[in-house]
Amino acid sequence: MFEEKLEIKNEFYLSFVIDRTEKNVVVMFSKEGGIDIEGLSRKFPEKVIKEKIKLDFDLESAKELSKKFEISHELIFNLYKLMKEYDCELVEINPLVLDNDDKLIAVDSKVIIDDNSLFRHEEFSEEKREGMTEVEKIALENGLHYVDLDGDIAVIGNGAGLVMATLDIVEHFGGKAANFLDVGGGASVEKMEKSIELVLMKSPKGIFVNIFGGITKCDDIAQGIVNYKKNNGIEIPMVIRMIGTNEKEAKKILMENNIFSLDSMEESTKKIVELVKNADNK
Amino acid sequence: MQIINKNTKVIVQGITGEQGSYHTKLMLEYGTKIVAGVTPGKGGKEVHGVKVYNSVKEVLSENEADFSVLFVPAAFVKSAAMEALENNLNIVIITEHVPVFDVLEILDYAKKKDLLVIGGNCPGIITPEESKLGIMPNHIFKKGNVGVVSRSGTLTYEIVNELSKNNIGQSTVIGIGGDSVVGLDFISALKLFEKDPETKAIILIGEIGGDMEEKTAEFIKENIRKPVFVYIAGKTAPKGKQMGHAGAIISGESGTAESKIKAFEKNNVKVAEVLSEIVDLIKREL
Repeated sequence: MFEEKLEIKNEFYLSFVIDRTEKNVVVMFSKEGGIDIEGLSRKFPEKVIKEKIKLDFDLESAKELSKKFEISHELIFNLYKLMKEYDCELVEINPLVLDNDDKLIAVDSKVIIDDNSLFRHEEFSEEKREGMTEVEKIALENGLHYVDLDGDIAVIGNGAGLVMATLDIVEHFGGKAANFLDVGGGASVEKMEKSIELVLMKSPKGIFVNIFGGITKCDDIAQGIVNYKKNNGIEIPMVIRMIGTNEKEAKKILMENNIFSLDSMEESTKKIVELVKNADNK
Repeated sequence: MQIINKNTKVIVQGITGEQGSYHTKLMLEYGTKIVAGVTPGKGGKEVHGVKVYNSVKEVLSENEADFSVLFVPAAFVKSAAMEALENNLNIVIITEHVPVFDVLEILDYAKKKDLLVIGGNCPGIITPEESKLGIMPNHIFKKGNVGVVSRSGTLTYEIVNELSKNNIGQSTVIGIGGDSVVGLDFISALKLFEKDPETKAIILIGEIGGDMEEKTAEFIKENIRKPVFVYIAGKTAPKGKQMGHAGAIISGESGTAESKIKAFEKNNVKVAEVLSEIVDLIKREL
């Protein structure tokens, strides 16, 4: 890449970030930019200015900061304006270079847009897909929360916390999850069929479905699994753990189709790990 | 010192929507005192016997209320929330995917008015056998002395179900939500549990992302005398990937399950290695 050469007098750091613990926007500035700000902040906290700013941060507020940071108040104000206008979680200029003509130049920058705001920023919607694997992109298109992992037991559940806990318990009993997939609340028969199709794309060695049905109906989940099996076949071991709304109907549907189901999360985890290990050893 | 009880008067914003209407029915079945619903433009209708009004102000011209539960689409949560807060109602935001700047503005205003915000992206709050504000499944809860506060939905039900099966009832269960910026946080919930005579022990269910658990661990050591037991989900989560919840993401070195578990252990708070251990820990305590 060819770029204009800079005569650098100083390198600063400037950012506005949403601090989730403070529940506030925080401005960060350092006269020592160009390097890892987290590291600098830890080792030399006095070199990094961190301040909560009010949501209605205006030109006056920018002027106050400008006195502290000794840089242009317009830059500070415009950066915040950008953040607010584009619903950013972070807007960062690092390094912010002061050249020999006393001009401020943003040599590198980073912006993170809040995913939840994409509905009001049509111009950005495509860019979310960078850094996603193929299967992750397909999942997104189908409204499924999916993350690729590197194990061989496909995991499907309802609720992010429950699915994360399922990944943890699979590992606790000696297995490794191939993916994270949260079907969300009240998933339909079709959504469940799609979920099975999705997790099979990476050719896992087993499938573990863990459902605690609140608003999610267990029989819809069961029907989705059965439909997929009837239409496409499922050759690998599968363990279903399902309790909650309509669990009796769900179990009937599964049993009629020779699909194994259990009530206990621990027992079902041990079972799928064992089945996959045995399949490996054949 | 309960946040909600059988006398808490509730309005449902977004009552005529699919979710709003369905859960209004379930809340009524549980015994929640729903006094009215709001959907702009649908005033005069009735949903499961609950009168619908065009605005919160209209509701309050004829009724009294303490809380509003929001089943409003994400794009409209801010205006609905501000409306409720303007009219001095505490709010529970069930809706997921509320833009974070909207949340910041809601919380900023709620703070000025000294009102409670629970959520967004949360299953709600329940005082078993008294009142439920949200979408938690009615039948798994049992009245008792364990306070539960969690960032998760179904994982909370999983744990509550085990508790109830083992005859360990709950005083109040609060889902604070899975987003990165939430209203009522762990520390505020613990303060309330500490003051509540019904609560004798507390279960905290955390997950990866942010540093709320780490700050809470320090807070417990200095301020909470009642026993607290913790479970953290996401020990095997990879860095940099959002795991379902907007707030469940490990950024760089921070927000790992390991960091949270270490923080609690450093402050003498017991962390369950596996889910099932939580019940054993509580059993031994009570």
